[in-house]
Order: sequence, then C-alpha cells, then structure tokens
Amino acid sequence: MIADFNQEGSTQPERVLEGSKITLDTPSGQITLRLPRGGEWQPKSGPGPRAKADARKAAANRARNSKAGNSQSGGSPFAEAWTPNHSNRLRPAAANRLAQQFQTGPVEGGNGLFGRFSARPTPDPSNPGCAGGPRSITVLSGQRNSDSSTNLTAYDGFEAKLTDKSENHLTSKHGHKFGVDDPLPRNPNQKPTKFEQTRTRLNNENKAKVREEIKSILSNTKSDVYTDVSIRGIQGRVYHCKDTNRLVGIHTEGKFAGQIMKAQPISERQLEFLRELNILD
Amino acid sequence: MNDQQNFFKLLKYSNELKRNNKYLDKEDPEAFDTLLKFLVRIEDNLHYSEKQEYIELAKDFLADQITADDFSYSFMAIYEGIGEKLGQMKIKESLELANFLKSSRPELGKLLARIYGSCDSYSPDPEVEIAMSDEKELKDYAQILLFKLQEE
Repeated sequence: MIADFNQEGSTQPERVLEGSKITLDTPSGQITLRLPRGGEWQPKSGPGPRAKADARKAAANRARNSKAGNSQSGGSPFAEAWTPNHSNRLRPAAANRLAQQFQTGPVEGGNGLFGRFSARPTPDPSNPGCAGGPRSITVLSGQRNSDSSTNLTAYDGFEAKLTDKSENHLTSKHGHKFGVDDPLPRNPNQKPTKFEQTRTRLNNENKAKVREEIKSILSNTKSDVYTDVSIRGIQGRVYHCKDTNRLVGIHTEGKFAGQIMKAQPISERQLEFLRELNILD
Repeated sequence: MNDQQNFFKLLKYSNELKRNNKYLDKEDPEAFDTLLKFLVRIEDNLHYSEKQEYIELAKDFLADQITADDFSYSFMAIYEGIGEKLGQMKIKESLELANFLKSSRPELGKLLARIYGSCDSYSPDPEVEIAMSDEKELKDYAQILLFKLQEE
C-alpha cells in the first residue's frame, strides 16, 4: 500500500517529496514522479478537467469584463465554486507533513491531500434536483466513485464494480501479467528459484494500468463471454480475451454480486474447465 | 494421420487464423476442441517436467519455512511460467512440443489448476473481499500436491 511507504522495516522505497515532484529511491536508482494536482488524475473528459476548463473560462471572462469596465463576473457560479485555489495547493512542505500525518498517497488518484478532487456528479439535464438537494448521479464506465471503486461496463452492457481493495489484490498478484513491470524486491527468506515470484508494487500508476487492461478485456467485442460460471463455487460471469489469453471474472450472486473477483491469465487446462464445465477455480 | 501430425496441422492452422484476426474456435469449433485437448495434455506434461520445483515449494511451505503468502506467489510463478513457456512454443510451432504429447496426466493438471485458483484467491489481509481461500486450504493442497508428485 502507498500508505505503508516509509514504514520501519518496509521493503518499499523511501519517498521524498520536493516541490511538485516525488523522488523514489529504489534499488535500481531514483525515480521522479510529478505530483498530481486537483483533477489531474481524472480522465480528460471527466468532471475534473471540465470544471477546470470552466474555471479557466470564468477567469478569462472576468478579465475581459474587468478590462471593459464591467463589474459583473460573467462566469458561472458553478465554475467559480470549483476555481482551483493555487495558493492553498502550492505548499509542498506543509502538505507533505499533512500527507504523512494522514498517510495519504500523493499519487493516489484524487485521494490525497494534494490530489484531492472529490468526484462530482455529472449534471443530468433531465433531473436538475431540488433546490439545495442532490442531483442524480450518472456514473460513467471507468470513473472512480467516491469510495475509490470503479464502475466498468462490458461491451455487452454488463456492469461490474472494481473495488479499491480488489484492485490492490489483483495488481499485486497479476500486475506483471497486465503490462506492469514494477516488481517488489524478493523477500530475503525466499529461495531463488527458476520461476521467480513477482509481486507488483502498489501505486496509483500500476493500479491504473491494471484497471485499463481489465477495462480493455471487458470492452473488447472479441472477448468470449461465459455466463453461468462457477467462480470458486459462486455463480459468475467470465470475459475471456483470446488475443491476450486473459480473463475477467465477476460474481453475479452472493455477497459480492456485481464485483470483479478475478483478472488473470488463463492456462489451457483452465480454459478447458471453463468451456466444458463452466468452472473457474 | 497420427496425433503428432494432427496436432501440428491444427496448431499451424490456428496460428494462421490468428495472424488474420480470426479464431479457430469460431471458424471450426470441433478442430479447436481437438487442439485444446492436445494443448492440455502438453501443458500437464510440462508441469510434470518441473515437478521438482513444485515439490521443493510444497515442502518449504509444509515445514513453515515460507508463509502462505509466499507459497501463493511462488506457486503462481511456476504455474504461469510454464504457461508462458508453452505460449512461446505454440507461437514458434516448436517441434519440442511433440515430446510432451505422449502420456496423459489429467489428475495432476486438474489439481494444479485448482491450487492456482486457491493461491490466486489467497490474501493475508482479511479485509480483501475477493480473498476466498485461507492458509489451511493452501496447506491441504500443498500436502495433496506433494503426495501426488512423489507418488508418480
């Protein structure tokens, strides 16, 4: 976990925050990451960038109006409310202390004190909401929810949820099979073997990559869909991408119905189980 | 046509289709099933050829020299590593594949697939919702695997 960085005895690299960059001291050298700012980790078409664009427009309007001697702002109240406050954000030292105090991860997409940019509902013109009351929320596929889970929609319209904890689990176990090359160092008590175990480092970049790969399996119209599959004894649905030979398994019943439970490569034997017996262990 | 000839013919056909963005299971489902059966047999034998890796791992785990978490990652590494090797051999249509076509070890193959599922679902963190196996299940499987591999 990101929050476990810098803990005593941790095998994780040491994190140093400096200005708007993070420097990670890893065994293979230093890695510098740019600090996210409000909305930067949102999809380009998401509410974050949209609000920022609105804010920029509002600021430009204000400047224009001010030059023309117009005292009215000209910007929408909504956009103004989300105008980024740079004076509050550009305080790396203070923010760093706070981040450490609250164990937040600066690269945690929109979930740290630096990068916090709370999810806002997409305004629904058909349901403007009562005065002062909440609007309805339209959740788009791939958008992060306020609980850090992600709703994904498969090409056949089936919806599934990827929780943050599941994402951590799947990234750690299968990140290296989902295009991430960022392994943690081997545990000292592990014997070196012919087939080296790989635990993928948990950070936002790696998790996002795995999430994208899961999304691509679900959205690939060539993926085979297996309904009515027993996923470790519970009814589920499986999407198998033949190009990459990877699958995504979703429970459709039980406590975790609608949740992504599996995202893994598949062996020939497992494929046979799936095709002939509708079983994914 | 013997098994070996049939296998390479189907593998070649499947690879040709893939290069043209087509899939054998759609073009000829019966041929796909036949090819899959050959590949399953080869894969089981490839796993068997690495049985010493599995034996050492199971022994270490049962002797508490490694944690359940380490066992799960290491088992998956062996299993996936062999799968990757097979994948490369398939692409190259390696003649070496013929060496693994001979005998059949369905019980071992099924057991390994189940253990993989258990390892995949294991997490030492009880709060991980998708963790659907525990240390006891892994220990039981390690015991069965050791017994099975030492028996053969």
